[in-house]
Amino acid sequence: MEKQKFEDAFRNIFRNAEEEPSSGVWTNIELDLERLEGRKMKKRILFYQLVAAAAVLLAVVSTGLFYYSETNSGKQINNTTIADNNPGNESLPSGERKSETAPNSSMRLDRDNNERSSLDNTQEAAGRNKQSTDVAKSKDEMASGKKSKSALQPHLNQKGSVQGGVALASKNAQAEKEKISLGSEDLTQAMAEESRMEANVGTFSSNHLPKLYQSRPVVLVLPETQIDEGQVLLARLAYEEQLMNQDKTEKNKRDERVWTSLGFAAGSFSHVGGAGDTPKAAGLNSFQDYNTLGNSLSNETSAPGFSYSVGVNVGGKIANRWTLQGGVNYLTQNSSYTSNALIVGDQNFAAAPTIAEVNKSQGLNSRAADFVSTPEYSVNNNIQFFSLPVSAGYLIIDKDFGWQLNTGISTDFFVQNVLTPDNENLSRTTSGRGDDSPYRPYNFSGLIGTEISYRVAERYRVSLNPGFRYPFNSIYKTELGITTTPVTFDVALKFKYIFH
Amino acid sequence: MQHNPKIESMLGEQELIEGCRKPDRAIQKALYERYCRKMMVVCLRYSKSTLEAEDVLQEGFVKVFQGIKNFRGESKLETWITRIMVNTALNSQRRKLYLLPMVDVTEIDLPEHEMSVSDLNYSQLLDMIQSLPQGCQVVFNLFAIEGYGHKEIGELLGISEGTSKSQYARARSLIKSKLLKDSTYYSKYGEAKI
Repeated sequence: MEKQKFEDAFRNIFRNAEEEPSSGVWTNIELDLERLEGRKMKKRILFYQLVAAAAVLLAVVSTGLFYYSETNSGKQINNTTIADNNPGNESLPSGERKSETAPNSSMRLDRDNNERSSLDNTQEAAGRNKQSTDVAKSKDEMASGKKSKSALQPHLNQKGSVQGGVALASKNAQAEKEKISLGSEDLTQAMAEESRMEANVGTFSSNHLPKLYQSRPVVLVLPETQIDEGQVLLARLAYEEQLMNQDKTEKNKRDERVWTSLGFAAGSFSHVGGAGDTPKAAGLNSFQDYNTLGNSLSNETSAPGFSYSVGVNVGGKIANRWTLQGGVNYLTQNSSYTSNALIVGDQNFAAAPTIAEVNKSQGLNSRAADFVSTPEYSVNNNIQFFSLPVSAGYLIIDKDFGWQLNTGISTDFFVQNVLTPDNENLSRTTSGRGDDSPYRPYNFSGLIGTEISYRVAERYRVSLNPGFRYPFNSIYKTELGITTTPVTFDVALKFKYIFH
Repeated sequence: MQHNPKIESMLGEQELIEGCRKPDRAIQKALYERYCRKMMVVCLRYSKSTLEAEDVLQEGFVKVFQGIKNFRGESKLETWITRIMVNTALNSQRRKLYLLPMVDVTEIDLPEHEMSVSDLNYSQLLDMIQSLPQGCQVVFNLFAIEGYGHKEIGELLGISEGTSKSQYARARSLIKSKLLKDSTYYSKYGEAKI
């Protein structure tokens, strides 16, 4: 019963007991959770990054100041210390002097302490020589713990002169005078002197600079390092995030999402299918020389030729490997054929017979007689379109070197047809859009091709696009009964500018 | 969810659970804020120092947030969290217990009437528990405060039931002696009388 009371009492007291944990616990929990969930504490890390940056900056500035101070201190020694190789002088151990170059602050302090103890001895000697005032002063300064190599130098020199005696001073008096007046021309010599002094520190000058010109020592005392696990974790997370961001930035930089391109294409076309059909619907049976005119028109509709285009396109990635491109092109198709008929009109008009003219003549039978047969002559046929191509592409290789397959559709708007006979006596004939025109005002063509490209700069890519264009319908109106579908194969050279 | 301590302190247990399952960091913090002080005491009971207890608390809460998806609501949330804390503490102590294996000890019984735990405050009792040897501390906590039986404790710690009993008896004796030292009895008669 008593035992039970004992346990109950414990239980009751602890049941409602509360103790506040330190605030760092939640931070660590959060960090653990972030790490487990793969998320990053951007704000917190940014803060620590700033703190780290500030710490680095502070360290750099401190080191710079320290180094600057040390350099100045060295210069001061050059200008103020007269090296005297007299081994009879009291000196500090050379090993200690060499250790001055070590960055370890504790070593510096040890050295200072040694110097200080030496000075204590000096003070005694000085006391014996009844010159204790200056040395005591130097001791006092040392007691403040802020005496540097350069600042110590004059005092040690004083000490040297005290122990070395008057003979030394007089022996080297002339040399000292010369070296005190060291100018820039003697800088090299002074540096050599300093090196000698480093090797044999036992020689000092009795020269003493005013306090104003004594450099103040800067002693860098690093705080004791305590590894904080939390900070280490944060630093590691920050580093990982930095790497991840770098990868992301690099990837973003390499990604091509939207671009525009300027392209020129050249190729050839030839007619397939019903090419060469005679335009019977034009009522040519009534003409005097049906065969002659028919052959001329047949040649016009079936002649192969060259195709050129220029255009601007814009494109973008719609998925990882899929692209969509569209634009506007000016397309011209040139062909040459032979004709042995003429259309003759008023006022000495004579031109190659065109389907347009023949088409008109159907409604104006009176003009049928205007077609006459002639010897063969060459005619250049030029058909111009504006086309709006839209194509989808699949990227097979998406690196600096790129390779993709494209397929799409183009809406071609007929602009005009120009027939230029190769004879200066014959007129050029132009057929535009409209009801009288034998050409469809617009047509649709299928596009298929490939694109081989190379990224020449971060934002530029050059590509070669070989491809086929095939009109779904005849370029002539249906009622003419002519089926002409010129299949074009061309190669475009495109210059892409990548927006991002 | 926007962090709003006032609103979060008003959240019900179910809302806390749901929020932690998402997981919503603000809700997780709210849950932590609600139970951290009580759980800190649990961790302190099984530890020798505050630092050690905070390590257990941290590890325990991470387990809570990771395991809350599996919390079926068969017990109170606080009970469930306490169990996780105790298990985490036991895991952290297990290595030490392995190094210092528990053996049967002879119970030194002291007069019961001299022990008055109720007169002591929480801090004094915590100090007593923390000053117990490792094995005694764990067994005492499990038996006297958590309410486990010696058989369960034996299974939990991988020791025999008898060892658990003797460790508990030793813990009890040590606490008794401390109580007596603190009591007026001790000040009146001195250590030799006990």
